[in-house]
Amino acid sequence: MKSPVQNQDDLRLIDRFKSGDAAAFEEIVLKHQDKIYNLCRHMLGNAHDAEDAAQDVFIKAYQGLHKFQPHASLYTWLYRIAVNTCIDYRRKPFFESIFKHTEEGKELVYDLPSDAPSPERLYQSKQIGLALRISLGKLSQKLRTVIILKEVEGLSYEEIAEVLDISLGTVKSRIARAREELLELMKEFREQK
Amino acid sequence: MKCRKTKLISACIDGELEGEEKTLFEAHLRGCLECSRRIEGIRATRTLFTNAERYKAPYGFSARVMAKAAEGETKRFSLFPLWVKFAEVAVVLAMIIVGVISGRFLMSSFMGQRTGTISSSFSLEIFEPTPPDSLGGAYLALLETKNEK
Repeated sequence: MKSPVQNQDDLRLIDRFKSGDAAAFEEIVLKHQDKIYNLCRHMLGNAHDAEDAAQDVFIKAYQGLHKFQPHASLYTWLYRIAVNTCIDYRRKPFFESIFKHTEEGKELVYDLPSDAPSPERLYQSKQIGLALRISLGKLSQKLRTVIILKEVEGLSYEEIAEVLDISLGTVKSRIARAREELLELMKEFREQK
Repeated sequence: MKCRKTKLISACIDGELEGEEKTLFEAHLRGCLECSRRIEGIRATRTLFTNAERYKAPYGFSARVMAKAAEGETKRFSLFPLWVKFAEVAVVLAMIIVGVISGRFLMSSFMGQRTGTISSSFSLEIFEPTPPDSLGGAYLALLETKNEK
């Protein structure tokens, strides 16, 4: 399997960290925090859990970086930690994560796009976005993870295979299945409307 | 019945088909309504992902991570003189053992002194006789006077 290219900047930062420079780790965090946070946000569905999980990812990385082997790339290693952390983190079901409990009952938690042009379009995009998130939540953990890594994070088949430690063939078949299932779930959502 | 070529849709979307396989599948798409609908549907769903918001880490995220990491280091450092922790536990255990042994010793010496008096401790003789100025004493005195008459 072709391994993702190791970034030279990352290697230098890792070397600095291993020789006792803690500031190098902050540079690693700053460089990768948006990618990791975005993945956690899509995997977990809400901002609060996503921040906690993303923090845990970097704490685990901090504790394990001394054992990091340079044949793997840092960002796929971080993605792997993030995927495992999110899987462990999801004690509550995915659907629960898009609602928060208030005194009046359950309230929908959904982040409005900041540049939404009109309330009508906002409503439509909100509905479609919500449908996608609910459909994602109905996928199995394996299919959801693989489709988020592919479509949201834009990882290649090889990178996904490295992150999840599975074969390229498995990645391809899981992505194909995830797309098929999502298509059916989105269709169901449209029919219900 | 589901078209058998639908399994090639995902590979086609990701540009994984090459050469003759690609040409054949593209020709198939022109004639197969099911596959062409599916590929359009999946492409539309992919557009939703493309339009999905990319979230950025909240303000101060890295500082919070570094603070947590430093906190973890401090905790680890405090565990460094491990023998001190073991010594603390050993002292507490020694105190408990000394307490138990001395307690048993005191108990056995106390029981040795009391052995002869245990049976007598069950007797009602240990109670004081009825005081004469109490109500019971007055009642007994009245009875005695009555009997004498």
